Amino acid sequence: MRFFPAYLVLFAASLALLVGCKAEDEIEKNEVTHPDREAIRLRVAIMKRGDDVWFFKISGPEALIEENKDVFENLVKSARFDDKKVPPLSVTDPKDWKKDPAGPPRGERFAGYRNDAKPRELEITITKFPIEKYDLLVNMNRWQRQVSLPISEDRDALEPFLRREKLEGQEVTWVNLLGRGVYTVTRPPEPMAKNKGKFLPPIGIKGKGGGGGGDIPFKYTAPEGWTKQPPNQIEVDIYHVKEGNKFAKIALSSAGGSLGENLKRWRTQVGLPPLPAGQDEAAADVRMVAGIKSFYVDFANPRGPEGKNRILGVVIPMGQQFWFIKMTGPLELVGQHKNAFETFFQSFKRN
Amino acid sequence: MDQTAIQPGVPAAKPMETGIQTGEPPGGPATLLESKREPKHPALKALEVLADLRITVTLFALALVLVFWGTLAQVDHGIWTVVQKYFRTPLTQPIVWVPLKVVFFNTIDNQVDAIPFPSGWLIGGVMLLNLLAAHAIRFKFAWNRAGIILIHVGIIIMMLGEVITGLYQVEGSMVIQVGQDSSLVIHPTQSEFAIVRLDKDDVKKEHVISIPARFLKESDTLIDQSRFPDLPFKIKVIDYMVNAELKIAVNKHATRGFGRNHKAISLPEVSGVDPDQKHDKPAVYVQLTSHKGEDLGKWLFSTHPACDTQWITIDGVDYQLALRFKQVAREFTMHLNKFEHKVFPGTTTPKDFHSYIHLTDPKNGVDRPNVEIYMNAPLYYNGETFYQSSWTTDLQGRANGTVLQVVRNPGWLMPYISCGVVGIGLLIHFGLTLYRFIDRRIVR
Repeated sequence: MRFFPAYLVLFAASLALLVGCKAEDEIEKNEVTHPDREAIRLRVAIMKRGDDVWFFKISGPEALIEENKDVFENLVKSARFDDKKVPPLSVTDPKDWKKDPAGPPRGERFAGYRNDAKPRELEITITKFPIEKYDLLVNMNRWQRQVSLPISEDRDALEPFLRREKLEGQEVTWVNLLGRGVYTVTRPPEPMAKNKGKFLPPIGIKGKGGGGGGDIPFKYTAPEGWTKQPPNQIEVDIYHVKEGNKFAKIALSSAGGSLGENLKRWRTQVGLPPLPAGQDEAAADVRMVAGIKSFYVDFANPRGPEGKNRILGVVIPMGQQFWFIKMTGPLELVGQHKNAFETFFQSFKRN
Repeated sequence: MDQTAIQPGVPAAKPMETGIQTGEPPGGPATLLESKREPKHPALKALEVLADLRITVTLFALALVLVFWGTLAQVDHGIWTVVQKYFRTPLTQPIVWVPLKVVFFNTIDNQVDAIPFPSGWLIGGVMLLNLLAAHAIRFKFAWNRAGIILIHVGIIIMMLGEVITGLYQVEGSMVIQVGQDSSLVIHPTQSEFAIVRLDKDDVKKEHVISIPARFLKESDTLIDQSRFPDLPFKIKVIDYMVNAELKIAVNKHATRGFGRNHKAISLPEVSGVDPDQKHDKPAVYVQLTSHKGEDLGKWLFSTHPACDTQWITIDGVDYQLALRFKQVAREFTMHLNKFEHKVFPGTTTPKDFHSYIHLTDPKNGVDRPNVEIYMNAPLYYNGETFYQSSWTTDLQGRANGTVLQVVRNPGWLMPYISCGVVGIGLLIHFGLTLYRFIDRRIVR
């Protein structure tokens, strides 16, 4: 009998391998160590003034924050408001701390300071935010997440972290959170950041970068068949898509205001009645565009203005500014190019 | 001469053997006489049945159909879903139910599972047994058969390589911010429900219970202490979506956390033919109940980046809850010292991505402070390969971290070895055939 025992062994081994293979994942309990995590303290002073809310913020390793407690508190206490001035806030710069270059215009950042203790320098920021959009609970939840603390679901649960006092007639709310996290320092704005957006490319001159203008913070790819048009003072990049004698316009622009205001404006443009307050945002789909949580809407009205009765729009919030990607045109034509429009905004990446 | 070869003009020589033969058993009449004298061992009889060439042909035909259907199935499902469903199925689930739509070449839109069909690994496994059985009962080593034997050895290596790859291949990514450490590999094609308790005494530690998404896919599934004793509460699955987007809206399906103001809208699974090949973002609605039966609310969890980690307090202990992509911690740590993202001057065209890593592995006594990973220069460490894949940016769009692709495939060499062995086998086999042919011509 020509029979090779070695083959039988291989035969049995392969059987065992096949029969016992493919173990599935099971429920597990593990202890995970994050070597660079440490106790992080986050302190904020909140001042409401006029149409804005001002935030003074410092966060970092607990011991470092304790060492620099006075610097932070003295900066807050030096705040003076003069409503006749723009901006109305003035402060006394902390001694031996370096002031950051001014940030982009229309941005949230008013001032930033950092001490020279690299690589673990501390940073104090002063930012402002429109009072109409201010919600203490929302802000507290964001800060709680930053230091891995349980999220408070109602305002009463915030009180242990808050202290209120009046400084020179100005009410200040102090926030003090102790949690954990990985300490990092943000990089200061570029020295010329304050000039960003001041100079739009002249009409007919293409901006630099893939599909974007000189001041567009995105790069993207326009679908085939879209023809690029000269930008204007509001829309920094424009494309047309044509079908016979009809055309739809795709434009990229930026503006301030609130999300609701902008969506309301678009509804009005296609002749749709405004929704009750707060419902505009609810009608929008959440999409991630260029890694940013953005809002996507499709407003169509067959009885709207001829040739402009449908708008596909994406609103990308960036600080106090919004970027808009908008397709306006006849109902059917916009519908035909809806997939292309979605592909277009999904191609957006930050520069 | 090979019996299976047709060689006109050449007189029949004495019968010779091939690796796999049909008809008369190899060895000629002497063997037959011998077998008449001795009853065959039952194992040998079984092997003879298994070694039948008709089984081989049938298996090849089944494999062809399965590959074809598996390809068509990628119109509606992701590549990895199809691979796991049609090909890499454990032998405990040897049958694939193929939907009518796929059976009829996607010409109808009916996703009802209709046709039971043997799965890829079942076909491959039986094919391997068939091949081994054929060799076991017909093997007789001779130099003139070396080519055939090598060809079959190469094929066996290829098949075992697929099994090893299917069982042990790992693919994921590591995301490390500049100045930070990481030992976590994230697997974006798999998700898990994580219950995280932060250690009260050590800020660096956390205790994680991870529930693989396969437990969440069936509605009404109850996950309680009978399944895992350390669970701090019971989880009842209400609805699982393999892929979903989130919409800001008041949501009555959730009574706690993020889901009160967000809805999950189910989307089709990312198709295997999608040019962008994005990852699915699963979402799940669950009902949480304490062990005492107290209602802890209905929650929505999603791997979508807009869905934050949520918290729940049970008996004074805070837990972070999240549906997230599967995370597996390694025993080594990578610290990103610096990341460079260079572009060609005056353009946005990438010139170089460069990660400067400090690798520490106390268990193995490794401390390499100056590891560089960049395009076409991966790091090989501990059986894994780390490729420069992408990078992260800060709010101003500036690069502030690296994304490394992590690949472990212990069977990666086997296809190369297999092709080499088969190639050598073919050369020897046809070389010998050619030599015999020329030799006979000269003799004649």
